[in-house]
Amino acid sequence: MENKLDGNAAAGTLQEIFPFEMTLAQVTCTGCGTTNVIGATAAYMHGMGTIVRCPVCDIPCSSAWCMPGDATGWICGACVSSRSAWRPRLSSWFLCLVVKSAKVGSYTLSVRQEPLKEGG
Amino acid sequence: MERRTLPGRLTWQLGEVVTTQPETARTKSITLIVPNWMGHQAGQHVDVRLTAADGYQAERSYSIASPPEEAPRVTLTVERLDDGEVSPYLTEELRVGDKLELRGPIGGYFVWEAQMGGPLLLVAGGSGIVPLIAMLRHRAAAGGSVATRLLDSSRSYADIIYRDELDRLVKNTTMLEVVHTLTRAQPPGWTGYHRRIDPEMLREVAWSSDQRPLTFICGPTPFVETAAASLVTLGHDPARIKTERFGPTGEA
Amino acid sequence: MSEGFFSRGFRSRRKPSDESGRLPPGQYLERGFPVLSAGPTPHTPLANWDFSIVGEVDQPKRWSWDEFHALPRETVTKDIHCVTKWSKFDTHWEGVSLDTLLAQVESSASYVIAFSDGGYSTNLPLDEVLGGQAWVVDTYEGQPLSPQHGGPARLLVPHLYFWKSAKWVRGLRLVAEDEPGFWESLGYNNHGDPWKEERYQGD
Repeated sequence: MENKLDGNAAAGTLQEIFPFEMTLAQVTCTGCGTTNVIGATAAYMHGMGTIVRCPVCDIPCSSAWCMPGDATGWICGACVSSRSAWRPRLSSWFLCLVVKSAKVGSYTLSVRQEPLKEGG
Repeated sequence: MERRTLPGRLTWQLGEVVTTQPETARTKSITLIVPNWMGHQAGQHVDVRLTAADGYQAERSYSIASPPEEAPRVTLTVERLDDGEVSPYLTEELRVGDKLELRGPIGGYFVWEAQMGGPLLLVAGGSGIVPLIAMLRHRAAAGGSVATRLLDSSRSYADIIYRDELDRLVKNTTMLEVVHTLTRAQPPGWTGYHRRIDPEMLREVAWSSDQRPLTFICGPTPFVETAAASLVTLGHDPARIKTERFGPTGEA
Repeated sequence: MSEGFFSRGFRSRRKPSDESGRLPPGQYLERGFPVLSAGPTPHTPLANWDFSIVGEVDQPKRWSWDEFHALPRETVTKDIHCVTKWSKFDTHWEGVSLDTLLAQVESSASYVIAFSDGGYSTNLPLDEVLGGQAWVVDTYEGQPLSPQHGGPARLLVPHLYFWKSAKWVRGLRLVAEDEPGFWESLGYNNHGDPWKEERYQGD
């Protein structure tokens, strides 16, 4: 049985790294050109990390890795890293993150500032 | 090590169990008071974390069953999985007065607020009803007039979670229809659907595509994928279909 | 953070410490066989399956499923260790040693990249897959390897963390320069020795 969920399940992990709601962030797969919100992507989550994939062509788009018990992680491409002693390199609210996995395709993750509404 | 918290970041917080309530033989609702709860939207979930004395941890996600109107009370409905690690603890061990570590609310994609309008199509597989009941409870609290249809798939009559409450909601609000399908066993005299959802059932139950409903589908991954694909085949706009997959076993 | 909090009545899955010294640091003994997948499970028909050795070799080599099965086979019993902290003792596998496969090519390469259906890859030093340290296996506990555990065939390199034992393996690419594979590119250790707890980059 695959541990396939969707981007909603990855939301907690992503929100630990980024200070805002990520499931509405749009991602465009450079493998097939489909644009989706992260909530609609396919997410494979288990102890090694979370792989978020294009729901159409299943190319991986990013990875948030969390060490159990420590609630830290990073996104591949090392644009953001928040593990233990490192500070996340989020100097501004606008983040453009290019996540490349050389063998399997690329994602461009552009995130607009969407501050959390009062009351979640 | 102390971690600085930036605004908007999720942090783990402790809720206290104030009530536990069996729903079916395998599911139980757990209501917590979460002192620093910032409120939530119907459809969101929380991550729950259990820690053993030796530091071992297990973490799972559970949809919030209670509507935003009940904050800071937060209710989770948990299905006990035989081979689960967290759900047996939550459904059998956790007691009133215990603390539970959670973070949330999480998720901005699979949410419905009354102001988003309708018509609303809700499709639930088993414990996938949980975030959808939060939407129905919120709908009722908000005046309950958005035209709504719920297609709820359960194994048997006894396994229908919130069965009596769904009957009451149909009686006490307007414009709500609930259709059940029982996939494994049916009571004597049952005249409703008795099979897994398929395009034909959705064609009969769902709003027509030209009414452009907002659709929320929740349940085990194969159930969600069948329902979503069926609706798209029937001409529904994929952009108006939102899904939440609970994984192969039905546990979020 | 809820420092020092623990959940009343929640029992750890960790087994009592292992007397035999067979558990690497930080691991616990697991009775089941968890499935961790980073993507959809490939289902490759045996008629379409082959195993190749390519890259910096004199002549690339390819075996069909039948040709692979004609090679000398071994039965191995090994402990395996997943970086997510579970270990299993005495797992039984059958397959072909990488010594047998790599003997068929000539190469001056120092590294291998194992590549799989579905796009997965992992990198290893060549001298760590020779000398009876690695196999391509197709049988687990006497049964054909199931797709969810990597069938028809997977790599088995039990002296390293189990992500190096690539599921759905289809071949090896021999290279002069090391290249990080899938998990190695995402923050996991390039080498992965469980006895030195080489889990993540920087360990």
